[in-house]
This record gives sequence, C-alpha cells and structure tokens, in this order.
Amino acid sequence: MIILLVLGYVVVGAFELYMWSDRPWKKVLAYLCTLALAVTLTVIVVSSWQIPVPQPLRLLENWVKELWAGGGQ
Amino acid sequence: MRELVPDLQSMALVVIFTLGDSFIMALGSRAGNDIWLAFLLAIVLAVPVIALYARMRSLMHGESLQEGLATIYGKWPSRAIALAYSFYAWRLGSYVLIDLTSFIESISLPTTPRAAVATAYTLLALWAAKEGVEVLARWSVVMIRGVYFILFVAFAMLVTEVDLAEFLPVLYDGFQPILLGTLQLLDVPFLETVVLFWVFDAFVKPDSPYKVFLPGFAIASVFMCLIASASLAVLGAEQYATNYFPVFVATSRIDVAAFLTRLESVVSISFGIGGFLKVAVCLLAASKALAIGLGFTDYRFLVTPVALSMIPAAQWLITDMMEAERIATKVVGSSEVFFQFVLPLILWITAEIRVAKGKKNSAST
Repeated sequence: MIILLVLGYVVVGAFELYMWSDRPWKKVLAYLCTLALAVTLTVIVVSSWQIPVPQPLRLLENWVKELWAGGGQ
Repeated sequence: MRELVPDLQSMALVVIFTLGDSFIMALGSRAGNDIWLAFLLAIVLAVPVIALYARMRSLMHGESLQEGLATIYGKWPSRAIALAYSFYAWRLGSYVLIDLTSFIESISLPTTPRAAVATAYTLLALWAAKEGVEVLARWSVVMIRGVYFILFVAFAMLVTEVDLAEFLPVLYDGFQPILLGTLQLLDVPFLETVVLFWVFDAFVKPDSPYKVFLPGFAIASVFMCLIASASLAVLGAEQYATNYFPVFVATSRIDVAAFLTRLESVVSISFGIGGFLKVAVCLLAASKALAIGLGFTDYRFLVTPVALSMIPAAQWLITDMMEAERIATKVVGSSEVFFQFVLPLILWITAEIRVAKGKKNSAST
C-alpha cells in the first residue's frame, strides 16, 4: 500500500513537472521538497506509526490552563 | 501579475468563508442558554481585531501582498511571518477537511473511507486554488445567493419550532459561561478570518479592506447568531451542547403541517458550499504564504503538493469525530491566540511605526 501511494505521488510529481513550460532549479527544488513532505505525512498515516503531532505552543497553553483552571479544555 | 478582486466579490468570499463549515457545529455551547449574549459579545470583541487585519492590508495599498510585506517588515522577517501563516492556514485547512469528512461519514456515508471523501474535496479545492482568488470570489458571488436563501429558509422554518422559554432565565449562571462561550466563538470561527489576510493580493482602494472584511464578517456572524440561537431554542441548551451537529439536528425537527419536513439536507448544502470554499481558501493562503516565504512571486506550482499533504494531515492531526468536535468548540487554543491575536497585534504596531517613520523620512527629504 505504501509503495503504491509513493508511486502515485511520484507519477503526479513527474506529470506536473513535465507540464511546466520552464523548470528553474529553485522552483523544482521547492516543489520536490514540498512533495516529499506530503509523501512523508502519507507514509506516517498509512503505516499507523503513533507519531504525536508537534505542539510547540503547548507551554503557553499549560500556562493559560494554570492561570484559569479549565480554560484550555 | 496582481490578482485584483472587486470589493463586492471579496465581501461574498469573506461571508462564505466565515460561515464555512463551522456554523453547523455547537458554537458557543459553553454559554448555555445565554448563547445569544455570547454571540453579541464575541461580535463586539472580534470587530476591532478584524479592523486591525484590515488596517494592516490598508497600509500596503498600491503594492502586492509580497511587496507590501517586504516594504514594511523587511525581506527576511516578512518571509518568516509568511512561513508561519502558511503552516497555520495549512493546519486550518486540514481541520476543515476532517470536519467535512466526519460530517459526511456520520450523516450519509458511514462505510466510505474518510480518505476517499477527503481526496475528492481536496482535488476540487486544488482546482479552485489553482484558478486563483479572482475565480473563487466570482464563484462566491454566485453561490452566496443560494447560501442566503438556504439560511433564511432554515431560520424561518426553525422559528416555527422554537421555545423562547429555553433562553430563560437570563444570566442564571452568571457571566462566566458567557465569557467561555465568547472565547469559543472568537477562537472558531470568528478570528479564523486572519487567513483571508493572505488570500487577497491587492485591493481596489485604500479603504477596500475595511469594506470587505467588516461587512462580510458582520453579515456572517449575524446569520450564525440567528441560526445557533434558534437551534438552541429548538433543542434546549443541554442537547445543543451534547450534539456534534446541533443545527442539523434542529432543522431535522422542522415539521410544517406534515408537509415541509426533513429540511436538514438543505442545510447540508450550505455546509458543503462553505466547507469547500474554506478548504480552497486555506489551501490558497497556505500556498501563497509558502511561496512568499520561499521567495517566489508565483504560488500556483506549490498548490498541488500542499493540497496532497492536507489529505494525510487531516488523518494525522485529528483521529476521530470527538477530537474534531473538541477542537471546533474549545475555549482557548494557544496557537489560535498566537496566530489570530498576538502576532497580528505585534505586526500591526510594527507596521504603524515603520510607515510613520517612512512618511517622516520622505517628508524631511
């Protein structure tokens, strides 16, 4: 399943790049990096790895909760 | 090429975006039977913040979004801000996607995989986002008539079922539930309008952002207040808070002389339209902000990978309907407070200082 999905992304990426009239390397690099992120997310979800969602602002949330009990529920 | 949208079309887009998919949820449920007071307070508190968003866009008049940001904040800070908001819009789009798929799964397609529904919606949003904000705004002008009609009919029919005693006694539990309901409403969906800051490339006149954001928000919020209050008066405060989709349940109770019944499907149409537009706008904002963040003038080439990443993100960020409902009705979210209020406030103060300094310098030379 994972291989099939990755292959799907590769086909979509290749087709889009083929359709572009010009291919400056910066644009191609940005496109491929963003597509790689999409593939990584798909693999995480399909493979059922329990990777927690990063929450960098959790500290602030905890502080608000402490200030106002139940406020962040 | 700058995308210039007439004010009326932009306003229609703001109305449908604000209504979005959330009007069907238990908005402001923590306020209990004082929900209408929570709505009024939330509207009053949201207007200055939305005026602040409009003011920031007004300061950039005559320049595109990318040029305006670079002029006011400088090249690298503007890129960092754009990347941060790209992430916010992407995450909001994923949340809306999961709301849509959860609703469809709960109501009509329980055995269809969520990913299939999410893919269908995302492909449609991808097409719309690639066409740009001009097409989305024109589409909004066409669809808004239908949305107004549906919401007006739903409200008029709900009035036949309401029990006004559900609103009494007023302020029985004091002011705290109203405050909690107000914060719920500000969090989702009122201040989500910050995403629209990144959608419009340029405005017709310097005061256009005010004419677009404020009336658009006012119309949508009044509609939401009426529909939510009427739904609460039909179901009662307890059932309103415990149902995932109280507006849908309330409209299902409409029965006019055993002739007009099952009107909930009509409300679903409005939900579908609003949800689609919100996903498309979030996708557009995420792609545009990402392009600005990476230093590109064109954003369209990034729409496909950003859209494709929203499908798995919708499964990763939220796993079930309970979590979707918790996020839609939470009181204070740290990232929401940061992106909807704190960061815009800092950006506005910085922009005012920089623009004032710029004017002073140009006057002295």
